[in-house]
Amino acid sequence: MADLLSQAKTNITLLTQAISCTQKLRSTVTNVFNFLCEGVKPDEDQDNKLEEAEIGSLSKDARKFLQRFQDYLQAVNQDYNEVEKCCNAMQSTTELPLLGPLGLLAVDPTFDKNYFYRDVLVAYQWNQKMHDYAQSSFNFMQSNETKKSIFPGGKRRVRAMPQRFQIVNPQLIHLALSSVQNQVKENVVLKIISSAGETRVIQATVAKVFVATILLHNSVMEKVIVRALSEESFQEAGSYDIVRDSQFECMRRITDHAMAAILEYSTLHQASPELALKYILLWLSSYKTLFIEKCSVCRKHLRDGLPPLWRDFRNPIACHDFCRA
Amino acid sequence: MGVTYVSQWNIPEGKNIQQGVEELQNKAEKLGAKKSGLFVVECESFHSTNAQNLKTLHTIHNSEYPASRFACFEDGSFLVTDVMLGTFLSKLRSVWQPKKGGKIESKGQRYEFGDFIIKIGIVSMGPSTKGIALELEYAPCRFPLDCWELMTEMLHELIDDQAPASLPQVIAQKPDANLAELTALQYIRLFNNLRKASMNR
Repeated sequence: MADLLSQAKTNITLLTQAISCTQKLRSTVTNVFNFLCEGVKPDEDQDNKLEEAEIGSLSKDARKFLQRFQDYLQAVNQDYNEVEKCCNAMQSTTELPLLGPLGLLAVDPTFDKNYFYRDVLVAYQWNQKMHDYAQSSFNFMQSNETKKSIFPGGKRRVRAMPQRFQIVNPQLIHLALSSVQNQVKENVVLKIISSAGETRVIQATVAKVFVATILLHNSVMEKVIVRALSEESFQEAGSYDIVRDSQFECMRRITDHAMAAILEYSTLHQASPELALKYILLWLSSYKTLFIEKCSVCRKHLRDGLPPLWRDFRNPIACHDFCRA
Repeated sequence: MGVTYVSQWNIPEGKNIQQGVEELQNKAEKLGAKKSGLFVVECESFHSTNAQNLKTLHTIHNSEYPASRFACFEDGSFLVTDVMLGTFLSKLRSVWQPKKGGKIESKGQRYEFGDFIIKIGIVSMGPSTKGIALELEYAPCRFPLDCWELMTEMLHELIDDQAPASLPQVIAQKPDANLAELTALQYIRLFNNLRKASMNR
C-alpha cells in the first residue's frame, strides 16, 4: 500500500512536469506557425540585391527566414524530447486496487456535479485512521491490563463474537418467509412491501387486530412498528411509512413489547435468525385475542383504559402490563 | 373511526339537564379523561312529497367526520356523501321536503381517555332541550362484536347503573356494517326516541 502511494506521488510530480513541458511545446509550435504566417520583415537595402536573388542564389532575407525557421524547429524538437522524457519516466501501475462499484462512480462524466466519490474517499481514509488508532490503543491497553478477578487464576470469560453480516441469497429468505407463513397460517398474513438489496419491509397483519411493519436486514429483524388496522401505512408520496408511531396508546405499548420480543428471540436463536423470525410471528399471532380475552391475572378487560397488552415470551397468555409483576 | 355506543343517559331524580351533564362530566374526569374540544351531531329529517312513498330521510352531520354527511332512509339504505348534501337536497325540494321541527342535535364536550373517546351531549330541538346523550367510542378496534365486552366494562366504570346489558339492536342487526353507519343509526334511534317521548308528554 505504501509503495503504491509513493509511486502515485512520483507519478503526480512527473505529470505536472509533463504538463508544463507540453505547454512549452505548444507555445513553441504556435511560434512556428505564427512565424510562417507573418514571414520575415525584409531589409531596407534590398533593391540592389534583387537581381542577384533572381539569378539563383538565395537572398539574405530568404536565408534569414530559413535560419529563424530552423531555430524554431530546433526549439520544438527540444521541448518534444523533454515531454517524451517525462512520459518515459512515469511508471505504469500494474496493480490497480479493486474499487468495485465506487470505481465506476469515479468514472462518472458528471463527476463534478456531486462530490460523492470524494466524500467516500475522505470517509474511507478517516475510517482507516480510526481503525489504526483503535488497534494501537487496544495493544496499549492490553499491555496495561490489571487483573481484577478474585478467583485464583480466574478464567477470562469468552464472550460470543457478534454475528457478522453475511451476504445471504435472497431466494433463501423468500423460502424462509413462505415457510414461516405456512406455520402461522391465517392468523398472520405476511406481505413483502419493498425490498432493496438486503433490506426488506414486511407487513404482517394479525387478523382483525393490528398491522405490524417489520424491517428485515437479511433475515435479522431490526425494527418493528405496530399500528391499528384503521391507520394509514402509506405516506402521501406513496412510500411506506417506517418511522411514525401509532396514534393509539395500546398499539404504541405493543410496539415496545414487540421490540423487546425481537431482542429476546434474536439473542436466544443467534445462530438461526429464521427461527427467531418464526417465533416472533407466532408471538404476534397470540395477539389475535387482544380485544376479546380478559387478563389472566385480574380477570378484567381493562386496566387504566387499556386491554391486556402483554404476552409472555415463553407462554403467550394475555396479561395487563402491570398485572404481570 | 372506531366502534361506537350511543345511548341516552337518564337524569337522576330532582336534577335538571345542566346538573345531569355536570354529574356525567365529573364522572368522566374522575376516571382520568381529559377534555379535547366540543362535538356536535345534527340530524335533519325529510319526508317525501310523493304520497305513495312515505319514507323518511334522515341526514346526519357528525363533527367527527367533518367532510362527510350521512343520509339514512327508514328502510335501511345508507349513503355517505360530502358536505354539499344539504344544498343538493334543497334543490330537490319537489321530492324531499324538510319535516317541520325536524332538526335535532346533540352538542357538548368531548373527552379522551387513553384510546377511548367519551362524548357527553345535550340533545335539543331548536330552543328546547330534550335530554342527555352519551357516546363512547373505542378507536383501535373495527369490529363491534370483538370489543363489545371491553366497552361494556368501560361503560360500567363510567355509568355503572345505566350500562347496557346486551348488544344494542342496531349493532346486533348489522355487525359488519360501516362504523360510521352504525354511529349514525344509533343517533337516529336516540333522536327518534326523544322526539316520541317529548310528544307523548
